[in-house]
Amino acid sequence: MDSEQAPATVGNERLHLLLNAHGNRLLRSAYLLCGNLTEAEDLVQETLLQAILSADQFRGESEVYTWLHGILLNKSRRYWRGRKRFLTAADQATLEVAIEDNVQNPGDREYVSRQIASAVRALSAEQREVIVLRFYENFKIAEIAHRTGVSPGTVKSRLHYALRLLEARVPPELNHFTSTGT
Amino acid sequence: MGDNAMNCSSFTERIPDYVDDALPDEQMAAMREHAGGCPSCTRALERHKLLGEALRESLKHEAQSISIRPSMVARLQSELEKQATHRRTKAREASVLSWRTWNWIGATMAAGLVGAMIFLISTSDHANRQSNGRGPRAIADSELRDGHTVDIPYLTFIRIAEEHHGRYQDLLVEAEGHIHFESPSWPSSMGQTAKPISPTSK
Repeated sequence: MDSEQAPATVGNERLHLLLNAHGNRLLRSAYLLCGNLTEAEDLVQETLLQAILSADQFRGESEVYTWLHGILLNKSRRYWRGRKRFLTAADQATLEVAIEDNVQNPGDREYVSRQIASAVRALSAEQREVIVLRFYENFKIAEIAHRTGVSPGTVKSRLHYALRLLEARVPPELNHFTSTGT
Repeated sequence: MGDNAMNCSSFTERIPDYVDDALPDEQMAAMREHAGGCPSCTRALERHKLLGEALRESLKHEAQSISIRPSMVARLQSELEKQATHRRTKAREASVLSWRTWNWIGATMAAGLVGAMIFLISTSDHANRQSNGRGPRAIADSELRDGHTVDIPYLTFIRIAEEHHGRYQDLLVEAEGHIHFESPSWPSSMGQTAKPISPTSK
């Protein structure tokens, strides 16, 4: 009887280890990638289950989080390929409800952050992916290229266009990063 | 625009790598040199850095309120238990399948053995019907008697006798037991003249 319960016990131990060490970070990244908390939880759930069931395949060549994030990224990309859509107005409304916004002062840094985040959510899946990997996960261009399976040139191109769009979409009065520019 | 080894277009293209400090030393130096003489590219570089900082802060702020909820942990545990149960069921099915497979193998081998025995018996019966109805088995029955020790396997004797059929003069059969067997003309007079001389020992 004990031996029959062993897999579940081992799985639970692995689950709690992974959740304690990387759960929140992974969920936050998933949320930024897909823009929806419920779907982010689903992605992380699938990621952790796959990681627990295939833990023997982890060769220790990278950090555990990097390995987990690779699984998450694959699931996120599959999710977007399946959905083939950008964030809809309804999703935007859901997000606005999910994140309580009690800061209305345009000069407030928090307010600016939220405006920028909204602009990021409005990007295409590929552009948002490169922005999240670059500025949230702090991956270098070569790492992003490796993880997304495209060339460094393609990564730089996506990054360039995503940044141009963000510059254009953030309201000018909040656009501190271009006010010093041309 | 700085008019040196690097133009504005290649400078702009390499800004992300420059920020990553991922360019070869000479290109890093060329970037610095170009930026030093090109206000436009200097602003582009500065804008890239500022936008990056704003994005880092924004994304961090956006995500910081997100954390794993107990309901999600419960779902995960439930799913793990479900998968463990599924694996146990699969393992049992595989075990039963394996048992059945061995049963099949055992039954097949038993059938093969029975078949082989039937074949051997029928072969020996066929041999007995040779030589005008008086085959080696009948000869052995009639000749190897009267206290002679016949402890070779009977079928072995028959097989050896058949192998020498038609050219038998002096047949020495030595097997588990030791039997001298003499016949001037076998098989024509096999039944009449062949006789065991004596049991011998080597």
